[in-house]
Amino acid sequence: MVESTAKLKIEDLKISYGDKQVVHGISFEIPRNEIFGVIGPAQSGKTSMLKVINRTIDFTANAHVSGNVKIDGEDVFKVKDVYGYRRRIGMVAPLPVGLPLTIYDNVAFAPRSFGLTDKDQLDALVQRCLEQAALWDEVKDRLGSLGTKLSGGQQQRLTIARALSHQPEVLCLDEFSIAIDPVTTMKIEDVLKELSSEMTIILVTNLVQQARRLAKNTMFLLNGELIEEGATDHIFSGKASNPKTNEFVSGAFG
Amino acid sequence: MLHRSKGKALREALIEWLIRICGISAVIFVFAIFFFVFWEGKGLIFNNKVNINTASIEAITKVEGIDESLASKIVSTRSEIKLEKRLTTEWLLKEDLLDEDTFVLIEPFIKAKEFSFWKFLTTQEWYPASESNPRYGVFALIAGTFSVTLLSMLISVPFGLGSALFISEFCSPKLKETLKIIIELLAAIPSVVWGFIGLTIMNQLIMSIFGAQIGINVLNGAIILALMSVPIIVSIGEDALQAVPDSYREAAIGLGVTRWQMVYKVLIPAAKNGLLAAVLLGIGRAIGETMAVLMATGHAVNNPFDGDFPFLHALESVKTLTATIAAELGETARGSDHYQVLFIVGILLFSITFLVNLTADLVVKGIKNK
Amino acid sequence: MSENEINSKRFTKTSLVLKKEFNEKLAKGIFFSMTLAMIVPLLLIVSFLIYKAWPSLSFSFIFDMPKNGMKEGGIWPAFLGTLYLVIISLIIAAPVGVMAAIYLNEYAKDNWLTRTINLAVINLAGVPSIVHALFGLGAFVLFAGMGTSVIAASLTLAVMTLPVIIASTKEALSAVPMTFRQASWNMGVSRWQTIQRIVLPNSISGILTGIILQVSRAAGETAPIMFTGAVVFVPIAGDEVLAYGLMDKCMALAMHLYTISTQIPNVPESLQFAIAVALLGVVLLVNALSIGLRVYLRTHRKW
Repeated sequence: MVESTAKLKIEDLKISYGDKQVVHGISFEIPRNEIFGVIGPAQSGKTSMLKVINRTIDFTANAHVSGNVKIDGEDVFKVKDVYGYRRRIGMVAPLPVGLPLTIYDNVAFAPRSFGLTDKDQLDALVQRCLEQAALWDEVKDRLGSLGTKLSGGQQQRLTIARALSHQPEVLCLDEFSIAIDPVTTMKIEDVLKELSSEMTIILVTNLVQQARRLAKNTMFLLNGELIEEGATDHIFSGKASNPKTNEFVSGAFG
Repeated sequence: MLHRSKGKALREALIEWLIRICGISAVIFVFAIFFFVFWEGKGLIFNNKVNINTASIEAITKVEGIDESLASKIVSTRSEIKLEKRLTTEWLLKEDLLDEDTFVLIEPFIKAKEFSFWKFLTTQEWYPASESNPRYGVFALIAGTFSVTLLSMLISVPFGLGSALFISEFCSPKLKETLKIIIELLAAIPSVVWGFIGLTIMNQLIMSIFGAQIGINVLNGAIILALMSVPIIVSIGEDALQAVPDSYREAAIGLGVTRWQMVYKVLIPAAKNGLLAAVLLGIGRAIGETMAVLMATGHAVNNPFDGDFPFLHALESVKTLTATIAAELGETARGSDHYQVLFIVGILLFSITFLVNLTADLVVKGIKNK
Repeated sequence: MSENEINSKRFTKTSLVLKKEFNEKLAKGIFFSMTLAMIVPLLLIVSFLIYKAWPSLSFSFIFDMPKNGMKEGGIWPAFLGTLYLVIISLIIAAPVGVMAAIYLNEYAKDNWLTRTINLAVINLAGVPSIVHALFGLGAFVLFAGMGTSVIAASLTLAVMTLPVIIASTKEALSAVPMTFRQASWNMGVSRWQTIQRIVLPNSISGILTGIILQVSRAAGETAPIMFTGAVVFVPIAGDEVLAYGLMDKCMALAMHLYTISTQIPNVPESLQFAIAVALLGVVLLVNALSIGLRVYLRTHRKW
């Protein structure tokens, strides 16, 4: 991997909550404009890693982080405008979260908070994000109804639309399909394939086959340690260098 | 394209600072309460000397062995000094009103009149308004507070916990809603209205049922206080019972025991800390209650306890710590001994309720840590 | 024994089961009567109060001035005074209390300061009302030089209602799911903006419910205002709504009930009861409003 193509570069990242260390010094690079899969069983530090990447770990009491996280060569922990920085990272949580606002306001929420008030621009942005998230056709006639009243699958796509609304460079998805049906999952997977041409996507997933279907490169985390990282085809070939990887992808544990 | 403006960021920082300051307001007020109540009463504790007033000067002149010329000199000097100055042996020496011999004579007299915190707590004589010999012993007032609180808890704890159990475990959801609303309304009745009920309705009832001469007494205050504390005990006790996970209930019922067995073998042991906290907060409220007790217990400095059965004379009138302050503060001059001693009573009350609430809090925390 | 007999035996109640059932019914019965023993006297007392007050109760009772040394007439100055004290104390306590709750629920980390604040809130709530009166006298009336006045009494009431407003607001805030905040933070929306646009709009009604509840508590308090602002009698012009100034002494409904029933001889009984009923009515009405709002909210949630 050539240095200049890496979007994110992470070196010796350690995360602990109080006395409990959850990530034990991992280093890896995430290439630009492709889907990067992260697999691993529960409690392996995947979500904590994402929280570091968009710096919402700042809100977690007694969290301690060390190591380097660089986005386009810039140290994430030294950015001055942390809110502006977070806008560069889109984040989709495991469980769909429709904010208790109208569908329109859900998507317009972030742009408005940054000072975009022009009605036409907002309309266009909302439509584009909902289209990108494959939700526009289902909701275009009821943009004024509550986002929280949508179905789970629709709310998850609304969450993605919201994450796109601030035009992120990196889109992080944290086990996005955990609470939605397979049909919607497939719809969203198609969306991600489309999006991967214009932004870097970090796909943390509980379904190893999902990583296999979508990701170009994949990383396997176990108990806060980086076990293996490389081309997805290699990881899933059954001939990965670490036997644990082979066991995990073949479903022996996890 | 879109950037947060500087002004907006500054405004946010200001708001967040304001929020932080308000955040510690509760701490500030607790300290302020302690400080100001203490401040107004401190004179008596630190400068615990006898006030110079006509009565105490005259009493000095009557101490045996003091000759008349010295006595008249003390009286005439006294009129030139401000009232708030205290009668101390040091002062008498400085003003040349005392020689070594009379010093020996006067010292025990002054010592006897000095305010001592120990005497304050342990003696029963509360004669704060006496001109010639004011005495400030709050033991009878503490006994008054204690008697009313004790009797009210004997009534309200079983009823409160029983109702909490009924509402939490034995009734239908609809009835539960209704009962909770009624209890909330019960808790909202102002204490002065309770006092009025005690003064009028309960007074008549007690006189006709027990044949007592005065219906405003320990029993009256205790019944009123019980009715006032029950809502607290019920709502906090109910919270404690609700906090027991449903899995406990299901496990017990699954073993084939009846609801009642489940309640007393599983639920009560599991919720005992919360129930204890409910009782403690009820006690805290009963000790601190002012208006209802002021109006319902009669005004007699009186220790209703004695060694003979039934130990507590519930049909006697008493005076409580809170009622004493409420009834007497209006009639005292600022800075007088009586005024200051009422603030010391306030500090005493503050400390007692502080301890009770702290214990309740620790008991509740005990559950959470488990 | 035939199979039928065995089966029928298996499903009949044994004496042990019957005893258990009896115990269960007994326990339920006892707890039910305990609950009744608490509620029935209350209803009787309230009806008795109203019955006794009936001769004096009328619409004009509230808006009339007291007459003949307060032995006749209405309660207008007291009613107005209570209105003043409650409104001013809430104007002071509500913003401070709500912001303190925002701090505790949204900003505070789990450290010694937060634990101290929580402890202070609990203890402030437990301070006896008469100690608040001493504090108000020492701090506002004397130290701050406000004298016995509407503002000194309102401040005292505000300090007293503060911990309860903090507690109820905190509860309303924590009812807003954490995921809403996280979703907002993830989009780069600042902490305060998140509070302003997501947390507060979704908890404002719960916060209001708590504040309204404090209206009823403040209206009923007597001890804290006794030495700080409320007095036995203040003559005001009957048609004047802005009758009291901030530095004036005022009358108050709760104080009025105390004075009329203990300090002034030969007041007709029905007048005393009417004042009690008026105070009770005001307090319960405000309380019912708060309960109604809460029930309405529970059925109209946005999530």
